[in-house]
Amino acid sequence: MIEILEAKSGERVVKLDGRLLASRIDPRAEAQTWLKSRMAFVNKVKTIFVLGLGSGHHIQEIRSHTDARIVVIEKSQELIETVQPWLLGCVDVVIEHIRESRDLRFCNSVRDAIKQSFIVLKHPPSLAVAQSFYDGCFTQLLGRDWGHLTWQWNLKDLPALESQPRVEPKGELLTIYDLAQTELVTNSSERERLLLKALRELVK
Amino acid sequence: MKVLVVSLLRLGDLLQMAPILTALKRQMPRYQVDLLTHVHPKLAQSLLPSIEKWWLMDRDELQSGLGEAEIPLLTSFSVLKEQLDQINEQKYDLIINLTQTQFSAWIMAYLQSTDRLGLSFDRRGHAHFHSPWFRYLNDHTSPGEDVFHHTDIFANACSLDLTQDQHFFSETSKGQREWESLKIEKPFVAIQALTSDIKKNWGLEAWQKTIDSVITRMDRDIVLLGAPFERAQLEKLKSNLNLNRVHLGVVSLEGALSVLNHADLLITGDTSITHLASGARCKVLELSLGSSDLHRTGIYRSGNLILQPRLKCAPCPHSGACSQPTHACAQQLDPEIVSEIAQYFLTDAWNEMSTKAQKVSAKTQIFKSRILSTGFWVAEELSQTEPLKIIDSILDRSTLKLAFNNSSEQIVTFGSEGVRLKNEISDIVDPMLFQSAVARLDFLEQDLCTQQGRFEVGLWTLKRERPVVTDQLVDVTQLRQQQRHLKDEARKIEIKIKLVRSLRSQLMENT
Repeated sequence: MIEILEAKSGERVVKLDGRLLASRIDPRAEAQTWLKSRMAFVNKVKTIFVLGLGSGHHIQEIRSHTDARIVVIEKSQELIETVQPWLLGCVDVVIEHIRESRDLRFCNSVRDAIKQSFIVLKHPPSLAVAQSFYDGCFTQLLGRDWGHLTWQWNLKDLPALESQPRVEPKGELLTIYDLAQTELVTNSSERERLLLKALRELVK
Repeated sequence: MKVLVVSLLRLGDLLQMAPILTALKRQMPRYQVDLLTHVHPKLAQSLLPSIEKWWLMDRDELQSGLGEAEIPLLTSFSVLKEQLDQINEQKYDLIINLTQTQFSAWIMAYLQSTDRLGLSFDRRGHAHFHSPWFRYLNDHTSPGEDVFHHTDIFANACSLDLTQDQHFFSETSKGQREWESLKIEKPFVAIQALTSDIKKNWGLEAWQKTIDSVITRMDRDIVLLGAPFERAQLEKLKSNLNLNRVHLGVVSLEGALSVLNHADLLITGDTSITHLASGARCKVLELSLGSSDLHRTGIYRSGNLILQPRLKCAPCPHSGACSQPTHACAQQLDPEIVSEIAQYFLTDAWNEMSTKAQKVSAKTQIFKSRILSTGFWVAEELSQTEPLKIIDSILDRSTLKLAFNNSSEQIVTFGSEGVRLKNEISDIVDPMLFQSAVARLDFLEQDLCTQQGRFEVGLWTLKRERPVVTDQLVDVTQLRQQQRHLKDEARKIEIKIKLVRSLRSQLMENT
């Protein structure tokens, strides 16, 4: 159920199923603080995925900092219908309604975005409403397990990392060390290998 | 024509390359010179106006993308690829890599250009240097060797003549405003007390003693230079000093340049400020501690001083902690000696300075920087007990220069190099010692001729080797490498003999 409230600062704030999706005091200030701690790559990547539409203030905040495409992943259709009109002034913002996290990989705007550089920003109030859904989306976009890594790699239309998985991830998440052990890097002359070798040097 | 210079080290290294960048533009005025660097343009772009396009590769960001669990694994890869693809679209005619690191070599492998200089890997990961000068840089990595200054290596590799004019940075209006805001009216000494490397730091207590002594000896005010993030430490230092005479100079790099141009003297550790001061007008007294390698990166301007404690471990390797139980080099450098030398320097009391250098030489080496007319930077030790030893150093440099810069088919102008050498030695060595210098050259020539004979025998022996298929194959590649090495060394000896003879005849005219 959706309620629209007014924050002390005068902005609109949405309550979804009894949970506030932004600060009741000053949602713009909250959005500024949220983004300030997440600025890595914001001005470098072609796409910024945002998990959770919230009340839209954090989307506006991102837009004020970068021209990158913003792709918002949101589980609630009702929320999208409510908040999307508030973002009409924000150019190049795509809001995708995804019912189940496994549907993410079939979404065209997601597939297109993955072909180039991107980051993923999580909106904590939205995650609190549908934690496992957004966790599932995040894992796919993070690409730090073999299955999702190869899905993303193949979307980029690059030479195959390898034909058979040889990489044994140390701990839970893959790292550049694991990528550096793939067939592409150890036994090919493809140009992409050169970049992975360079990146490997950065963490030595 | 478009040139891309790759400098993927730190701010100080980039500032050290400023004479190279300026000379590139001066000698190739119709070329567009661009830069690929980790240094943010807001820090140094205004100081390097010869650069047209500044490509920023944010190293910290790429590293965080690789390490942080919340950032997609392929983000750093994609961002790097997109940037390098964009650079490749520029179709550079020449790319010069002034960074001797594996990271830069892989980046060079990905970048495309008609020509290139400097370290680059090929697709198979084999290193190529594209110049004997860069190979020399690769082959001589031990700290403390008497080697070419990095600026000399890069200048010669790029066939640039840095002796034509002294490089100075241009002040900016922003820098001048920052200087004016400090409201310093009296003559002053600038102090750069902090460095980015804990091993290179002298310690605030030592600085405090030095500053107190400088104020007393020289009747100068003090300006403590630093970046905004260093303010707290500098405030702490200042609080222990004469507040009326000590000022904080927390300014940008542009502001620091303006401060230096008004200072009588800068006393500094090995930092980016040292390299900024190379292109400023104040005198510079550099303290070489920790991993600071003065022969490679000392203040690149004639007539300045470098102090280094005499310790077996100095300079230490960049990576790794101090090998001593205490920070021995910092402790050995006496603040009173530093302030006394500074006083002599300020008043051009070179005789007194040399006398002092002799007295303290057991514990502290005092060097004077000099750019030779042969085009090289050297650090001349003031307490040198063997004054003719500098001749060996100068001869070695000229030998390598002629060997690297000339193919074996070209006629090498030994005569003119000999004249330059003689002029240089006349400046450095007492004419009373010329006869001893001639005798030294005689001995050197004999020794070189003996070596030459040995190399000729070695080459003849190798030529007779045939690859024979027996139980053990003779390594043909290894044989060829040995042959090449011997030929190179034989050529260097031949060049050095000719230089020695040319120099000797020049000196004998004056004895």
